[in-house]
Amino acid sequence: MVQGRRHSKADFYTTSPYEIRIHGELDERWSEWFSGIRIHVESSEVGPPQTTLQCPPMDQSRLRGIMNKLWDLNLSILSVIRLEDQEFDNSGIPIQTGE
Amino acid sequence: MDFTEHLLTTKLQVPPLPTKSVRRGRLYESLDRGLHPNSHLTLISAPAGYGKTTLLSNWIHDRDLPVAWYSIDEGDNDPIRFSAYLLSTLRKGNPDITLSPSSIDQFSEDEFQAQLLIPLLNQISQSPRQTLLVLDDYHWIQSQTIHDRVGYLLENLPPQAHIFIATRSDPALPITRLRGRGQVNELRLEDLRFRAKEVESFLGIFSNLDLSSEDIKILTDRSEGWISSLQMAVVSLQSHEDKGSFIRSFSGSHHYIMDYLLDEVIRQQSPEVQTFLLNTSILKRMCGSLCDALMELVSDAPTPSQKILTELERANLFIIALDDRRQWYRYHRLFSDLLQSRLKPPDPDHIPALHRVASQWFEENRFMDDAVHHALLVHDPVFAADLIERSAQATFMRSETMTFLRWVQRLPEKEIQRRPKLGIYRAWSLLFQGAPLSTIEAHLEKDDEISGPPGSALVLKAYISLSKGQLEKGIDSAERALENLPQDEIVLRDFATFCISASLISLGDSERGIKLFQQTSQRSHQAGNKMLAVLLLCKLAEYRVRQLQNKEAQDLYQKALSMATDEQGKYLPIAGSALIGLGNLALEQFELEEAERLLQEGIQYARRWNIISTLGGYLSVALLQEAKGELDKLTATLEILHDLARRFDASEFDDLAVEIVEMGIKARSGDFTSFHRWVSDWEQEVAPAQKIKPGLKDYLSPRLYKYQLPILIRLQIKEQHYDEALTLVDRLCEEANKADRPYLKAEAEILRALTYHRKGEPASSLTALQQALEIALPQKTTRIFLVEGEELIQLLKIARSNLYTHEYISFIDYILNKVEPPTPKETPLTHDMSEPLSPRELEILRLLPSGLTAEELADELIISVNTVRSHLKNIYAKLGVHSRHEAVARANDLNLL
Repeated sequence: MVQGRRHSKADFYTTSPYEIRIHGELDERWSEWFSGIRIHVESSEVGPPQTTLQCPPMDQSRLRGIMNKLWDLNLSILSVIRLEDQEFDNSGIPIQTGE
Repeated sequence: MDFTEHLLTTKLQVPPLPTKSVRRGRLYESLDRGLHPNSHLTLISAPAGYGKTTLLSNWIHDRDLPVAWYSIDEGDNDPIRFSAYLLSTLRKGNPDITLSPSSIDQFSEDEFQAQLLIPLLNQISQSPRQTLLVLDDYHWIQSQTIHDRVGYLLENLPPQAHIFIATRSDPALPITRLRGRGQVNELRLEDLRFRAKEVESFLGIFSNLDLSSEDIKILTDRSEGWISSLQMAVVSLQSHEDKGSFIRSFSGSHHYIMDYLLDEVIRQQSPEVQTFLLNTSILKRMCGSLCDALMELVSDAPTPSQKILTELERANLFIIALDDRRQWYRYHRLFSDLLQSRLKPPDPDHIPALHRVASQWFEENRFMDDAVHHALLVHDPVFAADLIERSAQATFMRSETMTFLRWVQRLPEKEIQRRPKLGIYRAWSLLFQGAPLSTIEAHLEKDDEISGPPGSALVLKAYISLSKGQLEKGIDSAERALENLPQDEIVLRDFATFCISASLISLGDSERGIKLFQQTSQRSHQAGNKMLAVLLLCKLAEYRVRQLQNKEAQDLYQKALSMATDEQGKYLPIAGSALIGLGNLALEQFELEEAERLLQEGIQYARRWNIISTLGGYLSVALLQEAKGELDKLTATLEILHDLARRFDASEFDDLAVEIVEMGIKARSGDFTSFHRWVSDWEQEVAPAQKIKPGLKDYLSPRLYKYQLPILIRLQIKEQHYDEALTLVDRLCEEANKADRPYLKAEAEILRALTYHRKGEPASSLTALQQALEIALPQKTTRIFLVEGEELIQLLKIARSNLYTHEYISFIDYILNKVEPPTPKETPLTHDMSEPLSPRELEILRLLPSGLTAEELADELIISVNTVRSHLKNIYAKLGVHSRHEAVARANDLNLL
């Protein structure tokens, strides 16, 4: 799923931030294991909670690696969205979550 | 040892049944549908931990099905490796499949299909047995080549064969097409989820759990039938007093189920075990002593780790023993991922510090690959580069050059350039990998500017000069290198000496060269430089072969082979050189099966040391395939050879050698097109450039003249220019004498015999043939006679009835026996024997009453001891006996002696 302006093929060779939405509540403790993605849990009045994973700019192959890790943990993916650079906080600096 | 024996056979066994598993009857019925004649593929697709493997192995055990099982792992995403395993397991699963995986790396895709897949499908369809192939964990496969091969099998599968694929994600196979034809049977996530009833029987296995049906329903819903999470829940439940309240709190949480359960599991452990679990989760494999080293970082007085490991295994805490002695363990993959997410370091340097300790432990215990793996995770290029640089010389001494290259290539370029020594060793391994010379020379020039071990770049330059045939220049560089190199640079110094001695031999000073070879080999051996010690012995052996001293060569190769092993007695890559040499000797004796086995195995090892060194192996393979009449395979091998020679651009010599072998093989079959093409290329390009007036003799390179002459002679014979042919034969004899190549002389005499035969002068023909027999007799070299085809066989038969020396007659019989069944009186009685004995086996059997040992038999027959043993094994099996004594008695009964 691609949002925003139409992307030319060449864009995909460079890196972009992504947002992955998964079913259920994933603890923030996983952030580091996923090499610095940011984890938000969204509670909902009606259904079960969802979690969004904000991924710093990465290429397609790293994105694929993250999806594989999610799959290995048996987490269900609801959507994957490619973000514009400016839509990602911290201008793409990987977020350190060390306590 | 065959290549296939290296395949870990546990990968090809149905995994043992877990002690605590549920029989899932409803899924058995789905699996049974996979055995329907129209069902080609049963696809079991679900994420990790849904019990795919357990389901399949339970079903196979309960239904008692003969099966070809293959557990795929990370390392199998390689077409050669995959196909070798595939064939091996199919042979195990259905005895009617007899195709051997030994030559699969030689095929292009089309040939692979024609040579292997189609014959394989034929054997499957001709077999009365059902063939059931299971590919477990197929998700590791990404190679399109492998997908294509499996896809081809799937599309063309005969009705009595079925493929079952278990995978975490759907594979890139033509599933849609198969589905359209109703040939796919599928079990997916939804089918594999544990239903409440199955959860109940699973929990029932643990007698101390007493749960209400309400509790079971909650557990089933919350776990969504994911058996991994249920297993984890059981660990927590077992130590909970109030199981009901645990289950209720568990179901009320929206947390990722594994997070929740892991917290529970961890909470129940003592603080010490908690620390242990978290800190050791960074290890891919672990043993007590390694864990102790890690734990010293985090605890002042740690419990011995071996005790904790045993405890964890007893408590069923997702730890898997890797060996029977319970020395090495690893965590269940998902469990270790979970633990790592929990490892919250007290400071940012903690995790790198763990990897650093692990790396040091592995280095001290000489598990270099693991040491490098952890060193790279320290994220300190200096630390990793130090380790790799430190181990460079030792790794080369073990001839593990391709392993070394893999390590170096994971370092940042900047770090390598700061270290000239690392740069030098990288350049060597790139050369052995077959990288273009320009790349290597570019590296060298850069390294020259920095002060490395003095003289180290000169050694590589000497080696390259030697390959280019610039011998004096090579000697000069090598001598200067030796003046400058420190004494402890053993590998580089030995390489330099090697260059000097090899150049001396090529310059005609064999005596000094050989002496230097012998001295260096001994010194290398003492210094632990197995790579060079073995290489030099093989070079010495090669020299013996040229002089037709096969027995001496055989001894040298055997000696080299026994040196080329690691601490566990497993062959090092350099063993490939010795195996190829032994294969070549077996080939000359026309022991074709033995030769094929040795050559293929040798090539597998050699490519891990130096890809160019496989060239000699493939040249022999080409001659072998000529001898066996396997023309399609021969074409493929010649392709490989041309490709290899092109890759090694340091020398033209290898390109010429390949062309000459190819022209020679074709000339023997009467095809001179490639020779004519070669001559015309030469006329148009080389001759004008060198201002040489073309004359037939001058087309031939001075260095290779003697090897090209036989081709020319054959051409003259074909065109019925017999007198020209005889003149050239004389010249070939001269060349052979000059270069001290008796083997070439024998070939010349054979060609002379053929020419006189065509010319209608039988007496002269016989004399020439007798000359050839005389040269070949002491070593029982037979290939040169047998590749000449029917005409020479007839000549040999004529010679047999005209020569009166017993020696010649028995040698001719020996040669003829290799290709023709023994004469009637020698035909063994076949009754009471499953299979008649081969001529070679009969020969050995007849020597048995003499009481010779296996070693003496080997000497007598000029074959290896292992071959003798394997012949003896076959003899015993065919006679149905268990000892030498019984064999002789039985042979007497059957009138075989």
